[in-house]
Amino acid sequence: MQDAPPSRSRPAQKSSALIEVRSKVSTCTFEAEPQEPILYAALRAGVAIPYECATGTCGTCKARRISGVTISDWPEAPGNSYLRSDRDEALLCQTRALSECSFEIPGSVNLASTTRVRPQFGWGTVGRIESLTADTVELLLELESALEFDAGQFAVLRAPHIAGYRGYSMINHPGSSRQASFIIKRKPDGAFSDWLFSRAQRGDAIEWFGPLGKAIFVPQEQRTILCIAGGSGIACGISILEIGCSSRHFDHFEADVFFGVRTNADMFHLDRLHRFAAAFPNMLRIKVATSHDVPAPELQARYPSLTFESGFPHEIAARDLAGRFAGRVAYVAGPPILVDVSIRMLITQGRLPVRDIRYDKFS
Amino acid sequence: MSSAATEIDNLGILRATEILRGVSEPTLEKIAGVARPQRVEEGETLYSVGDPARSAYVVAAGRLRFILGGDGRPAAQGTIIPAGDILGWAALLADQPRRIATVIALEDCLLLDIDGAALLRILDQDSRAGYLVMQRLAKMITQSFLEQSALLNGAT
Repeated sequence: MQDAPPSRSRPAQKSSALIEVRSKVSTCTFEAEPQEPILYAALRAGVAIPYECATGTCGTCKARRISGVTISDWPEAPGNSYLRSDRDEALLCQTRALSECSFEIPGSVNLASTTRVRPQFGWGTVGRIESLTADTVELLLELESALEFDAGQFAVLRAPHIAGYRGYSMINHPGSSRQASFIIKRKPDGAFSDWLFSRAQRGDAIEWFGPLGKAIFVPQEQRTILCIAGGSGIACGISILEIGCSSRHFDHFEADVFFGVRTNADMFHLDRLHRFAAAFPNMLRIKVATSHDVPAPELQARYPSLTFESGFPHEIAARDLAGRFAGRVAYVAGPPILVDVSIRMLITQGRLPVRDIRYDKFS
Repeated sequence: MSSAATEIDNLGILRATEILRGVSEPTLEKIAGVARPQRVEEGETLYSVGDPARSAYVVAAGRLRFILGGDGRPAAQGTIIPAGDILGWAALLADQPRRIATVIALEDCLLLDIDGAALLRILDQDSRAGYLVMQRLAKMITQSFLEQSALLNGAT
């Protein structure tokens, strides 16, 4: 990955490049600034280029360059395995335009955006870094401009001196806020999380782009909820619980939340989860699952509104909800493999229609 | 998606397919007789979650992406299926009448569409071939479970 310039301002409009993207059924044009990934420019402009992680992993934003000069920010991106170099293909989330460009994306993709809120760039400063476990923190960002988002969405963050964006879910109450909180797990050799865990200080600048993601909860849907989350993926669940509790959604609609961690030492935000469940007894059930440990006996007494069990959260959900999946909308978040096996369980055992399974993969 | 031209060498493709390695020539010829060449364009969906699982597919050329979750949204852990592999083997299992994943062509592909019920009837008539194919199918499923288990145990 190349180092990004330490600028805090986005380049002037006059230096932007005109980008044309076409699929089999539609064509769109938009402006991209020299320092922004073409995917982000498209999303800002309301052009619905398909994406999933927005950070170079999944390969969803693959496109074939027809004309123009581009530069890749991350030639070794894992998502490049889905590309064919002999066909001039690129990941638009890792590609910047140095001139007017034209791209073709595969399939019959409708490029008209239907998202409620268009993502935008913004800057924030580190307000607080709270240690949750040995390798997990909650980052509070004080934002220069408000970030409007729905429960379950995520944003990508970048420190000015570290190349590349990383995706994290907002954990705080959704809406339009000048603060955003994220749960961040330390990644082995992860430049951003290494910096955050060891050197970042209050007031340090962080650039954000968001909101992103499709695993959205809005209480107006009036649905019974199932949430399966692993590790830091519970950020999505907590954001949903925040809005579900404040809107009194759980007065009328039940919810089951399965929060998976490896060991007792990896649990966090149990106080917060306990308060949610205690506010809606019999309607909101939250179970904490430890995959590599037996839950400590004192946990049940300390958090009587929660339940604890050994196992993987998707397996426990399959057993607890056997025969009772119908009508639910399911949210799945966490490590990609947990998302995969949970989706498989929800389709095969839960027999949920695909439209009722919501997830974003951006690890 | 379209049927491919008739000059496609079904038998040659089946001979190069790993799951059919060692199957006798007469049985391969029978399978070739029920196989229908099919072209899938880049970006096109071969099947989606919930579709009836009627056919298995041999990949003769090109690469496809196996996607859990469906609705056309690729997954971070999506598997790439190259030429020489088989996909859609739910069509060979009695209790899997529906697709549990979506498959999208990463590039223009040539496939052989083999009706699952017809293939099972052919394998019924050649128990050695049936044993070989089911043994490899079991190995593929086991491998998939082992990889899933290893990833889950390593997930943090």
